[in-house]
Amino acid sequence: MFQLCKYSSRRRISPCKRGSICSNYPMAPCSTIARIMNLGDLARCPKNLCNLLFRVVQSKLLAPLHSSLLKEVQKDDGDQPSMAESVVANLPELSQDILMEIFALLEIPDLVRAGSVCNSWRSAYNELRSLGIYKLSQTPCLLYTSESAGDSVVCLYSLVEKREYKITLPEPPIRSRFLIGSSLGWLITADDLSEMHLVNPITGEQIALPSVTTMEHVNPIFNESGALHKYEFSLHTATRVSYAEPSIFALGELRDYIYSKAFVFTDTFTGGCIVVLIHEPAGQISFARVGDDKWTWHPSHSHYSDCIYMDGLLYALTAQGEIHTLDLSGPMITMKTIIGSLSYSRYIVQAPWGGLLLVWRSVEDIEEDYEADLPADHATFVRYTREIKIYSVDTMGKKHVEINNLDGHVLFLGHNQSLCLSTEQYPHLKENYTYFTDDDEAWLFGFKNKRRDIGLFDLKHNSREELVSPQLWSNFPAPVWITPSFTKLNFA
Amino acid sequence: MASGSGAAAAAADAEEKESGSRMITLTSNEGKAFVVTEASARQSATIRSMVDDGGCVDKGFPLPNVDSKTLARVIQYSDEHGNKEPHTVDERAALAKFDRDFIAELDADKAFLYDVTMAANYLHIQGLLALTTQCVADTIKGKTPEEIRTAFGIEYDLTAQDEKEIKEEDTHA
Repeated sequence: MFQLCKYSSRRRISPCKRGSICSNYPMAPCSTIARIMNLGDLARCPKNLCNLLFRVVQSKLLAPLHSSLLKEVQKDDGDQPSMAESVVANLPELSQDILMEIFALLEIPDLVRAGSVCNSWRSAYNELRSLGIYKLSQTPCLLYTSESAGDSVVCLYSLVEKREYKITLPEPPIRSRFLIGSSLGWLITADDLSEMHLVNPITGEQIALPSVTTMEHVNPIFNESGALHKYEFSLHTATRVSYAEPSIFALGELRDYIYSKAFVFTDTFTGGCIVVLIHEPAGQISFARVGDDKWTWHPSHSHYSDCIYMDGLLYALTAQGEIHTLDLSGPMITMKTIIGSLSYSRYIVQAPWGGLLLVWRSVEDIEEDYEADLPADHATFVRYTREIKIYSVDTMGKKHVEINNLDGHVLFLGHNQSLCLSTEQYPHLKENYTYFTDDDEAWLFGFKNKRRDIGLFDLKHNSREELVSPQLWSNFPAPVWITPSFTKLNFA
Repeated sequence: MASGSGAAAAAADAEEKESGSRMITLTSNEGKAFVVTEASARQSATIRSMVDDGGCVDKGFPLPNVDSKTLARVIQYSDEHGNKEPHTVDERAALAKFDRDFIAELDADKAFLYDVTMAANYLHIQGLLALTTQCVADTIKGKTPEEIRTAFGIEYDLTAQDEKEIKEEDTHA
């Protein structure tokens, strides 16, 4: 006999003997709720991305991860023994608070499947999703598209399960867009009008970012009937007057030249979100904050290659290895150089143990004969990552030290927000490896049909491994790493 | 002043030592009494706060939500974790092995695993709760909803509304 129903009285404590725990201490509820609240606090920042006032795309908001997962269920239904044959006797129900604790340990695909097991599991799943207290340390997945999956479908390759999930995204078709960034579980895309969107592939939510025509370097050109026709693209920086005539680009062409890398961060103070864009000419930064309807140009410097956001400051890395902090919170942007040029670096990463890492990655273009008979866009060169150098930065002492390996950690590099994760927290990842994708925009956007340089780099032995073979993805849009998230954006 | 507070600390220390050796009676909902060391009982945050608040240590603690079989198993865990503090690498390894064996046994009997999970939640034994919830989570991993139902003996009781919701979400043709 199970008497477990009693346990589930976490809010309604039944009368019991004097002096018993029940009557004296309505205990479990308090601290469980407190714990949930704390997790909620952790999740609050991403949730408050919500306050972003960007235009909402009026497309149907899908929760499409379910789709492929549930498909499997339907497929499996026929093969499974019916409940009558089930060997395990029916168990009593776990209380909602315990179910939520259990669900908070799951990766999102498992969580979604658990959410369609039964009524009580579904309500625990819904509550967890709405409170945003699911496992916050989701293992990154590789996001890509493939011709066979269709134009609006993205695939997520799970590094935990070593399998792919297919997800349908809202219009415009994801295969017609460029993937220019990935952070906090959101993709930043550029469509065939060169306009940008934020898309959360897990929830299907989509937000249009301020128009590209509001950027400092871009002006719209209208035709006789007043319709947007082309873009004029100026090549100036704050210190360099461009004597060249501005370039004129077709609507879908500008994106080949302007976008380098995009990021979404959560403002430490307001909880609202900030989208930061590294763009041409000359690797400059523009950004848009909650409620902005246009991009703000940061004119003080150029040649940026990567950014992270910590403690209310944007840390921007230049190709020469300088680190600048930008305070974007006030009406005036204040910039400080915290590290001078020490060595060429491409990525800036927040180390889980505190401090910063700078990473240099060198690639080699190798001529491969078997590609020689391919069409014109395929030059005969294929790109390979050859070396990865990591420097640990002491911003106080203004010095940096090369480190030879990352014991207990991994790096994720590419068009995603650069990540360093602990393998203790993410046991399915390979310690001391770098998971990388192609991200040289000239290479990506200039040679769209090129084989992509995607794989694992063993930092200890300086050798390269395939992620999966044969290749699952189309070469364009180029695949990116993404950390699945239910992070919502509400719009005021 | 310094010596005064030192003396107070010493007194508290002595009391702590004394309290550590006290025995506490826990009574299951079937009326069966289990006598445990205070150190073992203090694994439960609930009992710990009652003891620290000067609660009814002498009278013992009736636990109307825990049956004897479950309580015995919970006490097995809290004895192991409360009575011995691991200092050496070997002792820590031994405790980790105890946890592995403990959970492997529970894993084989899902109904009992549920019982212990809920008792751990009720008594607020954080280590035990983490162990049991992780075990349930590990069982869920990589399974389809139907496989999960089979593993836990759960009846399909989704309402038509739920099914409609799930179908609507299932947009991927």
